[in-house]
Amino acid sequence: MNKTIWKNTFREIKSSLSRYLSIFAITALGVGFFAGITASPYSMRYSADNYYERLNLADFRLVSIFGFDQDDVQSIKELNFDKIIYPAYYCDMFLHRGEQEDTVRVMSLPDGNDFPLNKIEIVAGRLPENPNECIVDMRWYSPDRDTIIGETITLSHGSKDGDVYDVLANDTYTIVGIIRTVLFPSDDTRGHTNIGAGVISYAVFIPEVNFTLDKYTEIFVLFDELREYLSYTDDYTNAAELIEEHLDELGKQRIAGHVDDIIEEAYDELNKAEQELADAKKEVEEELNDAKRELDEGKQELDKAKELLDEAWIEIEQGWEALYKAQAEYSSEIRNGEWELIFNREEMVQAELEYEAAVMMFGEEMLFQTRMELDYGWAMLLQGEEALEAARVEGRRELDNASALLDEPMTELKEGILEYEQGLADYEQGLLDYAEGEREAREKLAEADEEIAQAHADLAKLIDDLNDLPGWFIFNRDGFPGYSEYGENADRVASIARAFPLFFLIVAALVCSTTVSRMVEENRVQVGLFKALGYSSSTIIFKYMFYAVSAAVLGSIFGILVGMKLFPYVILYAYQMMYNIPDMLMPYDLRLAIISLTASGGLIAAVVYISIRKELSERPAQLMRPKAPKKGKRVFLEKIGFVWNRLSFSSKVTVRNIFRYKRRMLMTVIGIAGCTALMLTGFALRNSVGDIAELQFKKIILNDGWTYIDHEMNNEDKARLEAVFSEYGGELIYAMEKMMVCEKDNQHIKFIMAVVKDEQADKFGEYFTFTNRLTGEEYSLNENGAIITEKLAKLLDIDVGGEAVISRSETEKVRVIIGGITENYTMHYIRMTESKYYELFGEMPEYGVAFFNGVAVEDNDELAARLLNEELVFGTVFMSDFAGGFDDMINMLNLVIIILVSAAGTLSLIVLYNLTNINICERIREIATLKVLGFYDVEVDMYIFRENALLTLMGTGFGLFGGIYLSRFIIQTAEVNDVMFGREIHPLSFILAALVTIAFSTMVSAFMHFYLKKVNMAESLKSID
Amino acid sequence: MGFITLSDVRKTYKMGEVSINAADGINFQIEKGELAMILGPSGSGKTTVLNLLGGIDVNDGGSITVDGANISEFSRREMITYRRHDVGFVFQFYNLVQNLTAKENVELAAQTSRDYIPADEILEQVGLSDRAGNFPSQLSGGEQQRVAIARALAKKPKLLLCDEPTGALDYDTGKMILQLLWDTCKKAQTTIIIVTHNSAIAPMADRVIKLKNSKVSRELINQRPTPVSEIEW
Repeated sequence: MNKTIWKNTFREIKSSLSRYLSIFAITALGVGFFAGITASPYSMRYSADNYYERLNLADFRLVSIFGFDQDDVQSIKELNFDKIIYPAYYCDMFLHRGEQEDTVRVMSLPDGNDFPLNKIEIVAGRLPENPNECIVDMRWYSPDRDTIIGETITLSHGSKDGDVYDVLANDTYTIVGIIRTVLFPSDDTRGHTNIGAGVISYAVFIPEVNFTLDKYTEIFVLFDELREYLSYTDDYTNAAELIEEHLDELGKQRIAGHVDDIIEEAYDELNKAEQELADAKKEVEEELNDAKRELDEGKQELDKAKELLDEAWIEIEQGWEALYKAQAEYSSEIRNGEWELIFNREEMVQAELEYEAAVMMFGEEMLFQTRMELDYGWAMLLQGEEALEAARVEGRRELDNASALLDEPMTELKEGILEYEQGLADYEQGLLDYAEGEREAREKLAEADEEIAQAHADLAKLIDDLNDLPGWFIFNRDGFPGYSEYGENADRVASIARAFPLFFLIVAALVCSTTVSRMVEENRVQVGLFKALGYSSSTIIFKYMFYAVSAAVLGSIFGILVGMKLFPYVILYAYQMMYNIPDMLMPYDLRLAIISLTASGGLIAAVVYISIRKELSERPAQLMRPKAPKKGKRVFLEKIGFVWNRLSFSSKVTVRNIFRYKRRMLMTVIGIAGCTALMLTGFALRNSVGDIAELQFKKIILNDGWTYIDHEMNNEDKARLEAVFSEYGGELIYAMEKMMVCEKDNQHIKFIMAVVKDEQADKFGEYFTFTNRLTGEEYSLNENGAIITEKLAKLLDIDVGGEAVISRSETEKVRVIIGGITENYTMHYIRMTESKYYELFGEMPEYGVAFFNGVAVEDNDELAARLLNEELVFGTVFMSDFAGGFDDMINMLNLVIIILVSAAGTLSLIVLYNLTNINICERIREIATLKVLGFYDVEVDMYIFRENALLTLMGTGFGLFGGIYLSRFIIQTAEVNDVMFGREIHPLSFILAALVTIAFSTMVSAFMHFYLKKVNMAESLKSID
Repeated sequence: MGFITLSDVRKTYKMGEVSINAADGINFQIEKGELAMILGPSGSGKTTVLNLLGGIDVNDGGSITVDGANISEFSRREMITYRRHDVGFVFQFYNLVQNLTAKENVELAAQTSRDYIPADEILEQVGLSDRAGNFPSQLSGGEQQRVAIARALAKKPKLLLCDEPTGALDYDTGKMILQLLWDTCKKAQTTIIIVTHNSAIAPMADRVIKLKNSKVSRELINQRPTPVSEIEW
């Protein structure tokens, strides 16, 4: 390499600076775009990582159903890693601020506002100095950001019967500052909760002293070991997983310890209850026995009394018998006496009569004796009569006395009998009462027994459940609200970066190659001269190599320097609209820079070599002669007379010229087609992403939303739930939605298994669209069986009739025959009926979701809050809330797309400019000749630009056509696994892409017009060199 | 005033810091229907004169009158119109559009004119009827130059300017072209100016203007031009 060659080379650069610059510009643009876009996801992760590290974002957040005591904290401290532990309190509550009620996460501010982890940054105001001051993590765009400081807020407990003072010592605070916390990198989400409408609006930090809880509610841990890894990278994830295993292990142990305590306590209680029951049983038995004994005793007494009564009865009977006998005797004696007296009287009377008769006959004296005897007889009779009377009275009296004597015991006896009968009745009642009492007591005891048994069962279940406890709930960073979304966005940019700029680079390389080969062609005389002067081929090659490669390398360096700052900056800026990540770092990715440099330099060197090789093979003499101008040729079109003859003269010229410079035509068409395709892809990408929300939420999901319910809800609960919905005019379908995993080539893809009852399967079609996007076939769960969503089918590479392999565990796989592939854009689903599910999995589905439809409600939160009041409802999601989230994503993609489109536009501008420039340079004589021939400026312009216009149109046409495939490819690449982008390209996108290309082409033409105007006609006089 | 009058025409080219006087007060006249020849060695200013006459360049000083119009005062557009309708140009290297057939090359010029000779007719005049459909690359140099002349003549120019028309041709062909030009001049009464460094062909001209150091060194009127067939070089 002697001095002259160097001089010559630098002169060459100087004299053809525009060409040098055009190589520089094209490589700068191509490499800048490639390196910039490729570096963007790295910048995103790097910036985020820097922010996280700066503010000590925890690697893990631990939550335990038992809370954390000092022993738990200590146990983490003892883990064999360098770490920072930050135990804290939080509670989700309602915040009242004026009329407004927000669902917030109340978090503790450590003493001295010194966060060991998850540091905060003040956006406005100051940190709390008093216990009754608070700071809020408001979203950036909050409209009352400026007035909120100084406002007083009140906190109330999340559940209706909960008391805020159970958790906090104070419920009223003054807002003194607005802060940003690294814990919530996304503007869009603060996570979910089980109170209110289920979504946390923002976080409120209050001094720790306000919390009256005896256990910490969460622990944040940061591991020094993980600091060295860049967030969102596999390295970080893998390292974090290893540590997570340790935490998990520890959590299980700690929870097991707590569980043992709990179980012991429960056992104690149960034992006590059992003891109590046993005591109660004994007491009841005793009481019953006493009662029985008393009854028996009463019975005995009664029996004795009965005996006595019977005896008395017999005695009285006997008495009466004797009395009756005596009476009978008395009566017969009296009657006998009476009869005797009557006899005696009659005898006396007879005797009197005889005496009278005898007196008459014998006179009285003779008869004195007799008289005497008679009187005595009378006296005796009277006496007898008197005696009888006396006996009668005496007998009667005696009898009466006897009778009276008998009457008293008789009454007594009667009373005794009555008493006895009463006693007997009482006894019988007692017996009945006793039986009743015994039954009741036994029933109660049985109930108690049952209760104990239930308690035993409950305890067993509790133990079961407790033993099933996974340990602590360990949230790695992916579980932090908004964290992983950012990573996914970086991935998305990365996947766009994978395909988009590469294409860009290729177009740039093509254009460069045209430029370089044109340069070599123009320099053929000089090449010949050098050759003739005896310079070696390598020296000559060096000159052009140096020329082109230096331009390309300088361009690449420029492109890298600018691109690696500019594109990441724009993308970071775009994502700042949604993420609170203030750090914007755009580190140079040296490896990528070297790759880009080497690639562009190597590519251009190859182009130079290929271009010049041909020239060098010619002899110097040949080279120094002007190269014969390209021959004119008839084109095939001329053979089609009826077309050719109809063309105007100028059109014929255009057509011939286009075919004359086939290579350039090809380059132009490819270049323009590439740019159009890129632009179409940009627009199509926007369509597709824009369409996701539209399609998924309007076309695919036809329901209004869903409610998470306890799958153990009984019919009564369900009826109540349904009543709430019917109040708003809506209806429900219960479904199971369960995250499952299916397998494909050792890859695990998560999806949602959705199951509905067979009889509701048809109705389910009104809640979700089951239609094949390509064939338009409509499916029904009852007829088609399992229906899989399109993206999942694609990921699994299965068609209708194929098998999806669902892995339930390492060993247990369930194979599902696919009955239909339905259009779907977000998440993956396999849906089937209950019977199908049972057939496959051998268990009944647990319906934990209720989809609702037809709900007419103005305020979603109102319905959500009402539903949360239902005990077994966990949360409600409204479709209308969902669609909004996508708008941010679309806005962001808009910016990305603007970058793509403007870059593609710039490229098309450069391509067209460059190619037109070459076109003009190659045909400078021809143009000069035309000018000498008196062509007006417009005519000269048209002579050249008619070709450009035609080529642009052709390029645009091919570009639109190719863009369909390119966008299809890019869209599929850019898609994250969980999402299927829309596949339709809107007509407007075609129109826009075409219009922008044509506009750029027109711009180039306008620019070239001035160039053409300046073409020196004297050129036409020069010899051909 | 002649048909073409140059009076005190000056033209200076600036090449960086150096100024070159390409025309340093040139004066001459050419009458209508004449075949004039401008002779001079390289750098004598003959191409400048040709450019100025052809409306390709504009003089800095003096005036150039063609058929009564001062073309040095023409606007850019007037200049194009002048080239379009009034001037025919024949180049040393023919400058045919490679992509057009002989006939089409003629048409290229003709289609811009208000009044033109049909391509077939003019091609017949230059004796190329049978090559009308051929591309320049399929024609010999002489044939190409004849096509170029046909192209220049098709629009019936007031003035035909020829820049070394025989420069790239062999002797016989050159003569043939000169003959054609002479015939054209005489038959169609077209004013023709031939610029050449080959003084051997000067005798065929009606008027010979010699340039030297950007000035007219000699101007002579040839009352009896030598027929082309007798010229040798």
